[in-house]
Amino acid sequence: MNEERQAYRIRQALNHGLQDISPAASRRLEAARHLAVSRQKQPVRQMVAELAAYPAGTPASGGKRDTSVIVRSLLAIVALLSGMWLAFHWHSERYVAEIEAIDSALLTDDLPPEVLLDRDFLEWLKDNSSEE
Amino acid sequence: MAQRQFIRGVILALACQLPALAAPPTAAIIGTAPQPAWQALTASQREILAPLAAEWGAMEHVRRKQWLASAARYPSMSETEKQRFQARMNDWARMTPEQRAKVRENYLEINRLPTDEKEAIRKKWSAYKQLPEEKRQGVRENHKSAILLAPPPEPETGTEEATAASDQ
Repeated sequence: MNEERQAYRIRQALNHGLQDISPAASRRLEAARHLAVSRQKQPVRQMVAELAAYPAGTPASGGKRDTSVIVRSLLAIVALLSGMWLAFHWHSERYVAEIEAIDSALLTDDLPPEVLLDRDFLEWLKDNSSEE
Repeated sequence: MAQRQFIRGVILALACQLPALAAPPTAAIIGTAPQPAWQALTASQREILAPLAAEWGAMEHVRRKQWLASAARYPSMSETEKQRFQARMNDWARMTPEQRAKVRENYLEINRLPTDEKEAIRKKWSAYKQLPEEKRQGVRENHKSAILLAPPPEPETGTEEATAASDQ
């Protein structure tokens, strides 16, 4: 409670002083603020640049971060390979099911494979026209 | 019955994918896990797939997987289908991938025909295979296949071949 009262008094005193600042001093203060803010932004830009450059370059900071990045990279590779294998496996299952169904059907059909291989004979059988 | 319908459905679906019938796609080959060697098959699988025993070792895994799926389907086949399957298995496995693709393509094409035309082809084949061997070539060269469906001709008007066909 006492601290709050103290802070209030300080704020009042500072605000009171603002009225006495000349326009020239006010402009200098504004310029100084801009300069301070621009300097504040530089470390942030530098950090972003480091992070962007990291995968191709050498790690800029400690071993702990290196390990976590390597683990993340390995996990990404494992996930990618697993996804690819699942896709291939799905292809295999689908292909085998389709081809097996058709092979079983034609291997048990009235028409044997050797007849189905003889295109001319099949065309002759398919011809519906009757004798002249 | 439901199985037949499933097969017909698959056949219709495959009709639009004829190029896929030639050789197994690379993705399917990569995605097929190693399949068991002949000795590792169950007794029942070895019995069903016996005609393939000699080729099994040299067969790609994707084709082994196909045959194992067929062996699983085998018990649900009728006796006639089982006999045909056993009798044709070996010749089928010995065909080149291109020949098998051609057979599948022709089979799908016939199955796309209207039912009455499909039945007509099967009846003609049935009559043709009952002709004596020496008459078959003559029938093919000198007649339309419709002669195989002709009603039994009068002895004095029928050709030699038609008589033979109607006798069966």
